[in-house]
Amino acid sequence: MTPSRATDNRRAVLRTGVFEILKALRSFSRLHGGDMFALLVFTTIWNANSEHLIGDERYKGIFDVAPDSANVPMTDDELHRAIGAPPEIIDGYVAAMIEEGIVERVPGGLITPRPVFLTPEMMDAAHEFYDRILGLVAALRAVGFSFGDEPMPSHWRGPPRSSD
Amino acid sequence: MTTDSPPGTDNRRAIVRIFAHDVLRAMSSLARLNGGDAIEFLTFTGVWTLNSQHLIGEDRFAPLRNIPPDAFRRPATFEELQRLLAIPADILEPYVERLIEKDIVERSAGGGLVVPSAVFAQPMMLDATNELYSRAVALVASMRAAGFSFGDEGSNELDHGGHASS
Repeated sequence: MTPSRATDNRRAVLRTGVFEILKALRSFSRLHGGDMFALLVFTTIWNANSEHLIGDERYKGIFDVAPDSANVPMTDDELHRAIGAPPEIIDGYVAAMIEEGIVERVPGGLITPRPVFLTPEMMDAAHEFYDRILGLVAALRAVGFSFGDEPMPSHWRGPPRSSD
Repeated sequence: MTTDSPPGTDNRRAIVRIFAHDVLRAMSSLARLNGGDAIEFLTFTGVWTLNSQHLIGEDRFAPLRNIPPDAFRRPATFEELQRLLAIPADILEPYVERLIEKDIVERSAGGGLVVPSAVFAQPMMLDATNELYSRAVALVASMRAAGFSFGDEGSNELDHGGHASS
């Protein structure tokens, strides 16, 4: 389904997209005792560790987990800034994750070590994550979001300009 | 419609990495509406999502400026919010109270939680909605650049077997 250029379906697209993303977050929170905030802390750390690997052909396959040496540690300050919640809440979660062994403190900050991503639960989660992206694409297409190569909608104002 | 990688190419981890990165960036940026606090942003988002999830597929409320009136919003209980967000109650409850104090969330006559329509009509909220849409479009471009196909040919489907590479 491809809406005409003049079709404004932005609110429908966002309603659907946010709902699907929250559903996914709730599902993945099972990896962290059913706590979505723990998932957010963990995901923020691994994302910071591997952000520079976006576009790196060596680590694009589902089984191509990057070695720890390729991780860029995230400092506690960076984590606090990224999440914005009270530091004492974030620090409590980090301490629990270090205790659990899913986060390590190394010179330079925090990393999520490679073996964590090789556990069956985490490999299943990676598969599920990808499948949920496919599901999200289908849900967005169903409410009229176009994934084609036709010109961007007339109301599109270009990429976000925030500084993040 | 493009397919930038041959069918069967495994780029799933790259796509997951891009998707997670962009969603976190969007969340971090939009949390500015809630003083930069991701928990408050999630709480706010959880309430309005529960209020309006039954409107998915309603063409009347598809355009940006067609904000559903309060009468169409279904109040959410705290338990529903907690089930959706899966955040411990002792952390979540003060955030709900804070949003009520800020008049961003209201309690309905029946005690449920509602984000009133007036909140979404504010210029900063319309800007945020527009930004979120723009980020979705940019995410599509990033994923396509990494080889994700948005076509209907099904080339994104890969099996779940195999072993992790070293």
